[in-house]
Amino acid sequence: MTFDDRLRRELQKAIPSDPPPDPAALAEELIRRASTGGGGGGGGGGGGWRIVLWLAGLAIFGGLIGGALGLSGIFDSDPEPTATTIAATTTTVVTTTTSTTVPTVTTAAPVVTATSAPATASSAPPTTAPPTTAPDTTSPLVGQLSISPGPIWELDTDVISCGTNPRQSTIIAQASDDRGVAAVTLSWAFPGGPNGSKAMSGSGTYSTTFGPFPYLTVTDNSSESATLTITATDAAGNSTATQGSIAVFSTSTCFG
Amino acid sequence: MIAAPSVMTTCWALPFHVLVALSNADAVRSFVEDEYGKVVGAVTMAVGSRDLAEDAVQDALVKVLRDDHRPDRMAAWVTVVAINEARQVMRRRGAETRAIQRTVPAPPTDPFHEVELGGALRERVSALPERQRDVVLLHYFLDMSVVETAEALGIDAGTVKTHLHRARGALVEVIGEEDPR
Repeated sequence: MTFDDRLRRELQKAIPSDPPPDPAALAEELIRRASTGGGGGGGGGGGGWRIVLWLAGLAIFGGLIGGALGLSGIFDSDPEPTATTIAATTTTVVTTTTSTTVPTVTTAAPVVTATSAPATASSAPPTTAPPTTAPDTTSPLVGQLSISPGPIWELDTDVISCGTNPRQSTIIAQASDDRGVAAVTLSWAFPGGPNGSKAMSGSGTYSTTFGPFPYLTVTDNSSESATLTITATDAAGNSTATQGSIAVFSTSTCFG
Repeated sequence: MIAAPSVMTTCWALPFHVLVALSNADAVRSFVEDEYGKVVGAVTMAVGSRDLAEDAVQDALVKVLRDDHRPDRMAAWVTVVAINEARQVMRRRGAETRAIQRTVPAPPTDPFHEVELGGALRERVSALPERQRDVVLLHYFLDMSVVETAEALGIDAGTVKTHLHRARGALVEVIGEEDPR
């Protein structure tokens, strides 16, 4: 028996590879996670708002169409996306309360004023006080993340060219907030670095480019998965982040 | 008003295709039945934590389902994606882990928490550099060829051979003398 055969056999014996106790139940659980939009990175709760938004969209859109046409039926409202669409792997919501006292007017558009305050606001400041606004505790929504193209390659060196392989990718995400999105940023992290970030531009749909990166950004002669995080922030500081990833190949993988 | 339409296939804010595009469900069921245990074992060896490995493998399978993307070699794809994901998590937790290690006795080095004959080999494989460990696990444990290993890791076959050669040198004390070549 060769050394390779011995090593292979001993590894098979040494590393437990027991199947899960209930494979069918595990498979169904995974399918459930995928179908509800949760899952990656332990962000099982990230899909909740999407479902609510979808149901709201269904009701509104269905009502409009049904009312306009006066008929019912099955329809397809949107064309299929043309870019490669990568669903977010993780969604986290961070809500920040900026003040523990009665909130004052912020840069966000007020939705509740002194004249339209609910009855429970009878203990509010006297009428001479400036208009108040309800604290903004609603985080922005970030829609699905589009990364195209992917993967990408580092820039050429003097002696190695990766030909027509893409060197940068366009990152697109949709973001919205009930009082307006103040900023959307893309940040990235390679395993062990480097990390970086940049602002995304747009309104409603935000985009920016990722890359290009110089040779030796990733481990030589390999590829690394860069984690992309899109963070949408509103004026009150509430933020929502969603993550995706893209592979970046070393220039030297094109050698030879 | 007549009843609203009952089906909408896409919506900008919600990747509804995610809810219905489960064409990979059977492939994932088959994978969980036949290959899940082995892949979790490989990822556990690669990252040193069975809990982390299971989470990462399951997340990778969710990606397969959600992205409606079926890799040619699912075991290889899931293994590499899970290893990368788990290592990212570990790096993020790095500072916290190092702080804990300063005050708490070191946990068992064997991620399977078992004492058996294979323990020495597992320990030696765990001590290999990351890339060598990955190559050994894909090639020897998951029975992938040099070319398949190279494709899965995004490196060239020559690099895989180099890593295998170095790994053999490190494992020879456990396995026995290497064959004359």
